[in-house]
Amino acid sequence: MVIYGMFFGAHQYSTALIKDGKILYAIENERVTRKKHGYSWFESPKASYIAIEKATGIKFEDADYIAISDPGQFRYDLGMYNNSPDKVANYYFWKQKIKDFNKPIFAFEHHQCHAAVGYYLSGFPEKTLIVTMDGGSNEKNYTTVWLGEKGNMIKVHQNIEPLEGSLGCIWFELCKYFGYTPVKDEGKIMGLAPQGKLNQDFYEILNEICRYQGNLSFSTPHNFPVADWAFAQCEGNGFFDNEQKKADIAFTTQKHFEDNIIPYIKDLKARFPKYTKLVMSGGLFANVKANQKINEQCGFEEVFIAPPMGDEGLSLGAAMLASWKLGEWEHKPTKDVFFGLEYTDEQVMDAALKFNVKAKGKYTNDMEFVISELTNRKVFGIFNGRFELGPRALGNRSVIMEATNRYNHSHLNQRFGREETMPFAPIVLTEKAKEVFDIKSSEFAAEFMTLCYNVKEEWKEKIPAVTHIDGTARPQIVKQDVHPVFYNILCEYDKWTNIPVLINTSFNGHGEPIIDTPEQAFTHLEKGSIDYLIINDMLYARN
Amino acid sequence: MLEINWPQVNIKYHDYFYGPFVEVRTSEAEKWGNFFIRFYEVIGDRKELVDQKPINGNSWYETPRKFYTKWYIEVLGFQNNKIVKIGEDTFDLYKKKVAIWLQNGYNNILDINFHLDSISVIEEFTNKHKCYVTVVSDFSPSLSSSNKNINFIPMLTADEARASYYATYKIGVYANEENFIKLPWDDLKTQPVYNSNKIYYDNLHPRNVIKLNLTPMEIARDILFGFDHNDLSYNNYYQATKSILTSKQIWIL
Repeated sequence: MVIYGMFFGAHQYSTALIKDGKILYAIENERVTRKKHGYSWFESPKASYIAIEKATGIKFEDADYIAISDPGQFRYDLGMYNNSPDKVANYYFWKQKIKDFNKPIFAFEHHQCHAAVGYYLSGFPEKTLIVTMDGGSNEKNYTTVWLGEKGNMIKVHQNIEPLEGSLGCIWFELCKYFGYTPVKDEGKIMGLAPQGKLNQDFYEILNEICRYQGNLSFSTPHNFPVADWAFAQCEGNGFFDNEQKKADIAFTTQKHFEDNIIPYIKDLKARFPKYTKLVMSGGLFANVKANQKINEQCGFEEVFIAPPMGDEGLSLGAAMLASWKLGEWEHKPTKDVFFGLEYTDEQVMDAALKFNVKAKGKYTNDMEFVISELTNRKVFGIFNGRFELGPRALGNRSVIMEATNRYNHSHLNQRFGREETMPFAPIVLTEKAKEVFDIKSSEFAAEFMTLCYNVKEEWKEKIPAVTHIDGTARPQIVKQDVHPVFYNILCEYDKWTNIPVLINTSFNGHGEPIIDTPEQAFTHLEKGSIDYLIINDMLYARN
Repeated sequence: MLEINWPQVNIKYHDYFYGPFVEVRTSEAEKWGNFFIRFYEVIGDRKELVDQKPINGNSWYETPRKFYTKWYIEVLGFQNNKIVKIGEDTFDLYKKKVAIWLQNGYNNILDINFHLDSISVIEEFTNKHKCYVTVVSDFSPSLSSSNKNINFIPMLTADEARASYYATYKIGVYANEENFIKLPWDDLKTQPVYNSNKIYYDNLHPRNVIKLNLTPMEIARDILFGFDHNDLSYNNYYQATKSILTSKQIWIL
């Protein structure tokens, strides 16, 4: 059976294609449109659908089933919004396609798809508690809890408007007062947190806006407007006046989030004690610091966070649910999340010709040179196979550099024109991961860079570029069969330096989505963001 | 801590015509910034948010939600780096001043029978809530002579009501040429709007109103005591291009 999964939502539109229980593609629009998160109504997943149709030749009308996340969103009256002609055209494009589709359409609620993408990618066979949490949904719920067993999911709890509020609204609204973009830059606030200290007044204000009040319930219904009002008052009273004050607000917000989310998850664990595995999904679980504490403190044997934890995962979640219901989905752990487009060697060579660069040969033939240049503070772009689904660059559209120099963080930021406060994440050889990081559980999650761990004391000074001020890091555990380029380079680098760790940051410029095409990679090589590019195993250097 | 005068919050329930009225008055608006009003419906032991609105000092807001809501309203301010509650009210008529208008007309002829029939229901209402009721009626001299427990006056302007009364109700029926008791906005595509002591009509009529054939006492009882009902969204109704009514509905203004 061929199933197209679609997400029509407020942002992070995406399309997925599953055939006979196997994921063929899952792509977020931003990779194709180059517009980060596509943060506007009714942009629709048209661009990602067309990319998949082009790659597979499978048309919408050829699918056996369509699975839609957030169908209610699609039904919104266009007249309610001042839409551009493009968006209106997109809407009618889909309306006609869905009208003409004479086969069954599955419709799933927003949080059901969040839960599904986390649970089915985890493949946990044991009794699994699935928690989803974000800023809200078309169904007006913020948080849902599901019990998963052998692939079946049952919803057992939800927090819903107009009775309860959402912790997500705090991050969303706060972005505006930091000069950041909501839904996109919340991670920057989290990254800034360790540089601040507690602002007790602000903590109490956050408690007024939303807090966990026990019994699986959150206070203050529909709290986006009250958060916006409260933060405007804070701004008027100088809470955001300088960088240190902003860092204090970030610290306080992170602490407030952890102080509320951890008791909530603990209460869930107490209520469902037989459920030993935890899957988390939804935008709020992009918070790797909170994920770390949940992993350490909430009593689960293993925690897994959906690698596409945001709304970009919903189309895949919908398609997975449909596939499960049709009896085709096999519930087992995913090997990777490389569900994006890939480019042939010919396409790469065509792009290289356009940029007038020549390959030096296979990178594996000159490993000594690669390692030598890495130790000379050179920056390597890695472009390999299919791109990832989700916000993390996991090795196929990544940039690597040495982690031994603390100034490499600002150096890379400068090269890419970024203003990141969060330190870069490390990649580490799977065999050496526990030597460097304090990993006691949830190693599988660490393959997807969704959890922080403490860096072992003796390693903090050796890898300062990836060690946060609070002594944590967000490692990606690298396996030979999943991340061959990373693995080969790390092995060789470790032989030379006795350090099995390198910086891994996403391959994109400031404010851009992670790159998609070889041309975009060569552009970065040409303008000097990177010194070398390894693309489909071939090594290119700047002219 | 800076010396600052606490704002004055007025919360009134005016005939449910526009929903609760909340006003914040302060002589130090610049020190207070914006205020935030939250309107809740109390359902058992929980509160369900109905509406919320930030407002400036020395301004007011009326929520669109109207009849038969057990209101809890809170007004938040921001002072000394803290969110503070500067006013709140749970709708309760106990020992409050309440004004009730009695209004009717039949081919421009006032009918005292409607007023007389309503009085017993108003007495019952007064006893239930132990509130101080003033009835506004064109027949106030005649009615006051036979009902000593209720205060009657011939006229009360909306401004006077807003200033002096905690809650106000309007009870009225109009009859057409066929002597069919009906609501005045029934087929006129209008509803009455009160401005001082004059009545005029505004084009705000909902579609497909079902005619009621109620006695004056039934009308007075429904308005003063309420009845089981489901709310339709005011905004959805007016934005709909065709009627969203799927069953019998009672439209209350």
